Amino acid sequence: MSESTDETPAPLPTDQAAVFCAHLRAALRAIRLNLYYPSWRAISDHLAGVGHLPPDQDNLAICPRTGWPAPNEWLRFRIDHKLAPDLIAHVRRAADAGDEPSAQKAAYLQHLHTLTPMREPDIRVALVNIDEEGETRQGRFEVVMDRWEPGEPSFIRWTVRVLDQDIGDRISVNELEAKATTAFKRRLQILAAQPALAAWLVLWDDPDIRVEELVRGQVGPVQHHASGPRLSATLTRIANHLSGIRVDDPLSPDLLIPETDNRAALRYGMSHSRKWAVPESTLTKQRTWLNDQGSKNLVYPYTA
Amino acid sequence: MTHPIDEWKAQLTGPVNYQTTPLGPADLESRITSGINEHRQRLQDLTKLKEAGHKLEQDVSASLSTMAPESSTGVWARLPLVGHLFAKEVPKEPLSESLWVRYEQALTHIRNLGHHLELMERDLALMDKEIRALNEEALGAIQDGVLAAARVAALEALDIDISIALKEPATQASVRIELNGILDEITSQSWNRKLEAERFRAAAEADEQLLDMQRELRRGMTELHRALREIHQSGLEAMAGLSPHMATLASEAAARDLANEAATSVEALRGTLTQVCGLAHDNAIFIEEHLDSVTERMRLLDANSAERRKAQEEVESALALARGEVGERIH
Repeated sequence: MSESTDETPAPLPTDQAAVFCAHLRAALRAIRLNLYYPSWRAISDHLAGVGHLPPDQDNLAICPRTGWPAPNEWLRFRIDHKLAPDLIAHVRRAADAGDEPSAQKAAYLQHLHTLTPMREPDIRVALVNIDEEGETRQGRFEVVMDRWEPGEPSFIRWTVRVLDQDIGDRISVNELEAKATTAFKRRLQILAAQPALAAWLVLWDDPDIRVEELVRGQVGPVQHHASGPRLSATLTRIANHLSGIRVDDPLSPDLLIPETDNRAALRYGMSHSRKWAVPESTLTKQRTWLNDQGSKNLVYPYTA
Repeated sequence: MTHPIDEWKAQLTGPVNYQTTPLGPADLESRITSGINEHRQRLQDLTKLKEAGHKLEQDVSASLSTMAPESSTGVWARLPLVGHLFAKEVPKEPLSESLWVRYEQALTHIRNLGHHLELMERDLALMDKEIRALNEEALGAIQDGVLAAARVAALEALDIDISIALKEPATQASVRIELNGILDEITSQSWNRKLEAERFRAAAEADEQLLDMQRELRRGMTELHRALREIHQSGLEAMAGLSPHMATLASEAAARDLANEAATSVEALRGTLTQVCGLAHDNAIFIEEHLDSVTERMRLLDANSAERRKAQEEVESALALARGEVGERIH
C-alpha cells in the first residue's frame, strides 16, 4: 500500500466530519460510475445527511473495515429524516419560547428536510427481447438489483442477464412492466450476499433460466489518508461470451477461483478490476504505486 | 378650630405603589380566566403525552423483543444458525435482509424516544421558568392586596376624622362644604379601593391555584420523563451490545439463507457444491467453526435479555404507578 492504512480510523469531530463527507462526495463524482454501479448521486445525497451531525452528537463514527461512516450513521440520517416532520413543530414551539438547544435542533431538522436519503433498493426487470423457436417462447431479461449492505457498509449493483427458457404467453413483445417473482427476488437477495462467482454458479444450475451475464459493481472501500480519502470501486463481470480469467485488483489479489477448472464446461469467463478516485495532490503517487503492483487500474483525481 | 383640609386632600390623591402592573379589575379577571384555561389545556396535553409515551414505550419494547433471542429452557444444545431465534416464524424475506430491517426499526423507535425525551426536558425547563414567574406574580398580587387594604384602612380613618370635624360646632360653613365634598370623595374612593383589594386577593388565590396545578403538572411530567429515560437507556444499551455483532450475525444469517436455499433443491446443491468446492467448503467450515461461538453468544444474549426483561418489568410497574398517580390528579 502506498501509505499505511492499517490503523483504525478514529471518530471524526463535527467539523472534520463535514469535510470528510465533502471529500467523499467529490470522489464519488470524479470516479465516473457507470450504469453497472449503484447511483453515485443517491450515495452522495445520503452522505450529505450523514455528514450533517445532530447538535447533541460530537463526532462521526467510522467503520474500521471499509472506511465509510459507520452503519449507524447512515441509519441515523434516514431515521431522523423520517421523524423530522412530526418533531419539527414541537421543537419550534420550544425554540420560539427562547430555548437555545431547541433552536439548534430545529435548524438541524429543517436542514435534514432539504436532503434526500437513499430509498429502499428494489429489483428492476427489463425485457430485452423474445426468441420464438417453434412453440417455445424464450424471453431474455435484464435484472438490476441495488444492494445496500448496512453492515459493511457497502453499495453494490447486480446486473444479471438471464434467458427464461419458456415464458409462454405471459410476456408480450412490448412488455414494460415485467417484475421478478417473489421466489426469484428472494433467491437474488440470498445470492447477492455471496461473491459474484458463487452467485453465477448457483444461477447456472437453475433449470428454469440460463444466466448469460452477471455484473457486480461495488463502490468502496474508503482508505483514510492525511491528504484526503481515497475511494475505489470494483467491477466484476462474468459472462459466457468472455474467455479467460482476468483479475486486476491490488486490494484483492487472492480472489477466490474454484480450483477445479470446469470453466470450459461451465462456459464462463471473468474479468474483475478496480478503479480509484484520489485527491489531486496524490495522483502521481497513486499511479506509481499501482505500477509497482503491476496494475493497470484507472485513477481519477478529485478536488473538494 | 383649623382643620388640616389640605393634608386630608393630599391623603386622598397620594400614590399607591402597587408591585404588579396597574391592572383594572376587568384585565385581572381576564388574565386569571385565560391562565386557568391554559392550564386545563396543558393537563389535556399531559394526558396525550402520557399516551404517546406509553406507545413509544410499547414500540421500543416490541422492537427490542424482536431483536432478542427467544428465551430457552436453559439447555443450549447444538443449535442451527441464528435464523429461527430471531423470529417465531420463518420470515418471508431472507433472514439476512429482515435482520437489518428489524434492526433499523428498533433504532427508529429508540431514536424517536430520545427526541421526545429531549422535548420533555425542554418543556420541563420552560415550566420551571413559568413556575418562577407565577411565584413572583403571586407574591406581587399579595403585596398589592396588602397595600390596597392598607389604603382602605387609611381612608376609613380619614372618614372618621372628617366626620368628627363635621360634628364640631365651631367648624365654619365654608369648611363644612369642603369637608362634605372630601367625604363624598372618600366614599367613592373607598368603594374602588375595596374592590381593588378584593381583586388582588382573588388574583393572589388564583395564582396560588395555578402554581399548584403547574407544580402537579411538573411532577407528573418528571415521573413520566424518568420512566421513559430508563426505557431509553435500556434500549441504547441493548443496541450498543448488538451493534458490533450485526455484521457478523448478518453474514451468518446469509450463510444460513444460502444453506436453506440450497437444501430445497438437493440436486442443485450437489451439482453446485461440486463446482463451487472452494467457496462452499469455506462456507461449511465457517458454519462449523462459528456455530459454537454463536451458541455461546446466544446463551449470553439470553441471560442479558432475562436481566433486561426484569429491569423492564420494574420500570413498567413504576410507570404504571406514576400513571395512576397522575391520572388521579388529572381527574
